[in-house]
Amino acid sequence: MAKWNDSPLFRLALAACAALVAATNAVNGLTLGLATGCVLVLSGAVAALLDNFIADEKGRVVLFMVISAVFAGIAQMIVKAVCGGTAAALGIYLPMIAVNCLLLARPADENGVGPAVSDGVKQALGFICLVTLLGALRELMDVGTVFGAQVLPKGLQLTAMAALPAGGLLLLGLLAGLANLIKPKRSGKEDEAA
Amino acid sequence: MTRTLLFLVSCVFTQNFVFARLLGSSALFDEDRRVETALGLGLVTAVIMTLASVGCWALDRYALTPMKAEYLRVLAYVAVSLIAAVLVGLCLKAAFPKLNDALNEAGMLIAVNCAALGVALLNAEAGYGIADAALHGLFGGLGFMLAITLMAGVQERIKYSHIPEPMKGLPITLISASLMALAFMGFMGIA
Repeated sequence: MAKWNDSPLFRLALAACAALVAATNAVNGLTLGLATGCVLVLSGAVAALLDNFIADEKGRVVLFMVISAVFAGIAQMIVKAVCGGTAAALGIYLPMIAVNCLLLARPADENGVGPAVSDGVKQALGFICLVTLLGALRELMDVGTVFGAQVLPKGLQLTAMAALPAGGLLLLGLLAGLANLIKPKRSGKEDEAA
Repeated sequence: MTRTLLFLVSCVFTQNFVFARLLGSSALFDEDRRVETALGLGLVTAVIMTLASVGCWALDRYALTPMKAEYLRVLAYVAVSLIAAVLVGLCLKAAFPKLNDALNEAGMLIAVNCAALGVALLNAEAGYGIADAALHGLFGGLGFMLAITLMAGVQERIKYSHIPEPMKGLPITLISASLMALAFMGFMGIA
């Protein structure tokens, strides 16, 4: 049953799935990605310090959730202070970082803070790339801009569905399929973003 | 009465927690889940969400707001939703051990907490009173139940159909979820 920790790609896609409602344009995607990335690295480091005291998987999830809630709260305040407009657009999906599955469903094999941090940075970079890409693609298809810069002719809307959760899920599904197509099975381990 | 009914339709269909808000969407991706298990898990989630809604409302009203500690909201809400999940888990352990195992899987636990935290945060954002908060938790949980039950049914069908190799597993699940989300949007005119 534990196919949670099987593939980094799988976890990445799940984490991005939770971010789809908010990541409707490149700026939102990037902000959410950066915030999640910072929380991921920091809470991973703290959790690695405490990992020796917790043995079972449920305990790990609970511990991780509390630690990442602390950092998610801090991240929310920082984003609010730095760019209030984006924070408002992200709404509850900013504090929801606390229960992001990228943070919570991690394999229990790290020992020490060093590996945990490097692992966290790798995952964070993958996640930032993926949500920014998703946000940019959706923005392009919905309003024809990327990071607010006009790319397609003005007034041309490819599909309004792109900005909806349904469109985001479809896009993510296609990207995941594309990733599978490009990277043929290599002993079941893939670590490419998308 | 009408208002409650409309609230129900909105929580279950147009603002479905899984398909429209993507809260707890990680619950969709268990390919081995059966429809019966999904129903049970959904009901349990509805109970947890209701408890978390009410608990967070009370905490907000009687502790966080009087002490001007709204910045602790995320941490406090996560703690409350965890406690609700653990309490319900303990009751389940005695009554339905099998369901408890399904709930304790890491993926499901995260999804449940995601949904519970989400409903509490949405309540705070909308400024709901205790009755509305409790109803939001319950109706949102029913929507969650409907979503994972339908997806379990879809997964059972997918197992017996011919899917192109690269689309197997996660991609086809995401695309099915997308189509389901579109279907749920069809209720948009009602509420």
